[in-house]
Amino acid sequence: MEIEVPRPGLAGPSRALSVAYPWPRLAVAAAAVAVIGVVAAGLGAVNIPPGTVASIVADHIPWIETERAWPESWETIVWELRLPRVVLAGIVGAALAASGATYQGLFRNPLADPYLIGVAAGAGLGATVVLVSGGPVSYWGISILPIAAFAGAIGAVAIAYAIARRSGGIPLTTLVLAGVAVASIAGAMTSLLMIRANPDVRPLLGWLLGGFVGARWLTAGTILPYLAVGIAGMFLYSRILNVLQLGEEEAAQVGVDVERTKLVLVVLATLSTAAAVSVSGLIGFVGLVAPHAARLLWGHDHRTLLPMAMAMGAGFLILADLAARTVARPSELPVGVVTAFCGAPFFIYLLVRLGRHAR
Amino acid sequence: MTAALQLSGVSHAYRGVAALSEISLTVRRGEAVGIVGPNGAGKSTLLRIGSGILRGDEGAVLINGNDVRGMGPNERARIVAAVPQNPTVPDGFRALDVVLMGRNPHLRLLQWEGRRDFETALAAMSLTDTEQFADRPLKSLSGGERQRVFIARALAQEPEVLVLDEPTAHLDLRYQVEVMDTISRVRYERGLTVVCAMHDVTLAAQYFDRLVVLAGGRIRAAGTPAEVLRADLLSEVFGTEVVVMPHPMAGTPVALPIGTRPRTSASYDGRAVGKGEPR
Repeated sequence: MEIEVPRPGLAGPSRALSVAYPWPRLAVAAAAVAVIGVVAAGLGAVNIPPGTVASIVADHIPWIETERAWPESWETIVWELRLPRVVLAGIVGAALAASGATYQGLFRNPLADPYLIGVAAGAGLGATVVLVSGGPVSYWGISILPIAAFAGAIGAVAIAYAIARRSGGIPLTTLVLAGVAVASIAGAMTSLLMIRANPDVRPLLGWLLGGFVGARWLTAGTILPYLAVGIAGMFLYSRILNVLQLGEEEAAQVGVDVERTKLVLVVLATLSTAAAVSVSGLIGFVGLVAPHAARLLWGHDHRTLLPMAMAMGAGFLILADLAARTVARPSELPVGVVTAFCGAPFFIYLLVRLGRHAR
Repeated sequence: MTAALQLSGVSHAYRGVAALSEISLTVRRGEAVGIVGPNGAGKSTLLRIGSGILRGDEGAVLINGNDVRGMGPNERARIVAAVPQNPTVPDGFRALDVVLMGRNPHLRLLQWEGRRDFETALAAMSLTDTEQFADRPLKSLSGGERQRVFIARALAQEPEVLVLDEPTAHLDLRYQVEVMDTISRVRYERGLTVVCAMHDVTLAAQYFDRLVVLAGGRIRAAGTPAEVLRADLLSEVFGTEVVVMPHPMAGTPVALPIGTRPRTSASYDGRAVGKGEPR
């Protein structure tokens, strides 16, 4: 068959015959996140100029030589205290945004968020079980709360998925409803355990409200593999996720193995979310707002949407954590409170300002 | 020569309710077959099983002589393409983006659409006369325009068999003809085999070589439009009295329901229907 050349003028003879991937925009977004991180790491009880922060960071890169012109205490503040926290906030924000974008695409519902099918309630139950069990909460200085929360989150989603799995297929509405049911049961069990066992719930409350207090390089390093696998996998499937926007039946008609795709995406998004939640607690709004905002601003193609949402989520959560630790100094605000206070108005602004164009 | 599509002894039930019973149907290569019948006759189920996305409870489906059960989703989608009855119109995608999605069966997981995919998609849009909409959001197009974009998406799969489920439903006369003409054109240009469910038996008779009448999940009749569209059969199958006459231009059979209204204005005396309204 001969290829017909598109008529000039309308479709245009100069049309690019490849996917126009916005590399410059992604580079700008990545640079913006880096700048936000460096500035945030410099602010606090002791203010350190961004240039010095950048030098301290560069000093830790093996093949870069820098002149050490800063006090030793700054080194500790930036490298040991603030940077791990900034980096953890960044990767958690990116992971929540990527998972949120994936869930919103998978369920074809802009109101979906990473906690939709039971991750949050499962994580809460896991952490509570550890607290009320009476055993030690940490071994060799490593808290087992994150591990229990991670297991609870994965377990809740697995049960919801198993419930929805009838006659070979997973209807997405059933999956959401099963997630709601599992979350209710997990929530009820959490309340029951807390009332019956009457433990010191402060560690649990602190964790539930979410935050990055006491973040260490080890924390970030521990969850990074999960996030890397989850995010890379979601990006691999981003073109298929576009095709899925046609609806399940039509996606199947163009050769998508719909059931397998759903399973893979739920596993990847749950893995990333559970890892993020296990170390940072339940931080709301990032996973909902960042992908939604990225979609309103830069379009629906998941290949672009995923990285742009991640940049937004990372930048937003770094700034929210900065506000959480500086606004009410010397005490700290729960970062979830900050994300809600800043995220919601921004979200409303986007809806009002850009919602019309998106239609 | 192997048949493009062959169903033998296909039966299917949804939760115990039989939708199709012992359907055997052979569609020759290059043939255009219309599936007609009343609502709930099983037309959509037949197409879903025939295009391989639904597995029937019983019977076998052969595409190009190969059992569909042994085919991977991509392999199947390179041979059979489908235009669904009520296509979901995704938010925020241009018409060209949606047509490019038809290239999926030719792409690997990690592969993005390249030059050849864009050329194939644009050629498909040119054939369905939709290339002028390439950069328009699909949502902004009218029903008939969208339907042609979805046909272009199916063509982008470079299939051998095109399956359509009531492509003219909800369209006005002009768009009905446009869509049917588009189907005819792409059929001859690409040498496609077409299987198409239709509500409108008259339109089906005008455009297809052979019609299959489906009722209650069974094939009631099959043959050329002239053989199949008989007043007695249609009246029985559709449960309403139908007259059949030749199309004044095309010569193909036209089926007209008689209905219950008085047949001429002369027989309308204003009281039989008006129930004593003041005049």
